[in-house]
Amino acid sequence: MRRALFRPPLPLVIFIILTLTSCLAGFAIFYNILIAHDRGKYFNLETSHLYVEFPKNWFVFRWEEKNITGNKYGLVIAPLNLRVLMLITIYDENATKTYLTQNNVSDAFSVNMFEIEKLYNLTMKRSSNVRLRFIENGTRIVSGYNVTYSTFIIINGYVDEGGDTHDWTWTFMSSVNDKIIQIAYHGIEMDYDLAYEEFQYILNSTKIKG
Amino acid sequence: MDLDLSRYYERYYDLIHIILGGVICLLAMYTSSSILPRLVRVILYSLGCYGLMSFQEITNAMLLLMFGAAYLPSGFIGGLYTGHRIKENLRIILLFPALIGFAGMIALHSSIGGVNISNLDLQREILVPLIGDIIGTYLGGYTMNWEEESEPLEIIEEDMYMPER
Repeated sequence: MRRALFRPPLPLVIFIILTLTSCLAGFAIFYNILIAHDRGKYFNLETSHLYVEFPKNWFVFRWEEKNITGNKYGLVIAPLNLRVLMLITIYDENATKTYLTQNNVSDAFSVNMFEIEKLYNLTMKRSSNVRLRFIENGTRIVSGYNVTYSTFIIINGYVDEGGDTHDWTWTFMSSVNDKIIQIAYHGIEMDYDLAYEEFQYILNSTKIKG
Repeated sequence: MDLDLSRYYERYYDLIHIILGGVICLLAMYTSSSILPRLVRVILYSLGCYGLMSFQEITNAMLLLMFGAAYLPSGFIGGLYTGHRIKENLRIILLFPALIGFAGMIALHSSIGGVNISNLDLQREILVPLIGDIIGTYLGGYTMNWEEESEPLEIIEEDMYMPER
């Protein structure tokens, strides 16, 4: 009995090999990143200015703003399932000088008040019946820097896509030395409380370089 | 009227099937390049490690995945169609469905997706899709015509490989 040996066309074999190889290489890189940055429930992320650990299902967006008046570097850290967000911004020396001069502020507390007022004015443009309620003011250590913080609620400050207003809780902290470090985290109503522990973990793990 | 149409069809046979191959390639490319990144995000989120998308190294991984699972197969499908319909001058002809597919995808992304053509990333949005598309199209086209170019199928004696009973 004779039969033909199945031999697929060579281009098809090359196509299958190329497809499988590139997909496997892609997955290998994913796995490698997963192993390299795994810290239990968290991932660690290191940039030229910062080191942070963040929950595995949150995302981080890094940004830089370079000007002749100075440079700013930052991270935005947020989950997908909660309406909360954390921002970390570092000003270099030139940007610090420019910021302090332009806004006529000199210390961390005045920086906080300036930013809170700016935010409050912004929310007033979008929503009526907005009120500001301070919860707590204080100082704490973040990455060896003494930072001044203010926790406050902007009542009816957040307007969602449906036009409904929500209370918006913020913690804003800053440190002014040779550079300004600003950290802010905020959330809508209960979401702020749900993410609070993660915010604290990120804050405690944050290391500011230089 | 029918006679005229068939005359035109015969006259522009190659051109029609090159364009159709390009359109198939374009549709496959646009669909897969739109769905695949979202699918990866959904999978990562459901696995509880969406944060992987935050790392810069992920760009290379995504690029390899897109090459292997989107651009190469899309070109391959377009090439299969063109190779099925056209049997001559494949070396030159197969380039065109790939180019049509690639140019169409850029045009679709810029018109529907709102991508600015002047800000396209050379490696991620031009070189890798184009190379994947071209390689895929040639592989698809030659897959359909390989028997004609290669030696006849090898016939073997099955008994040679069967154990004696």
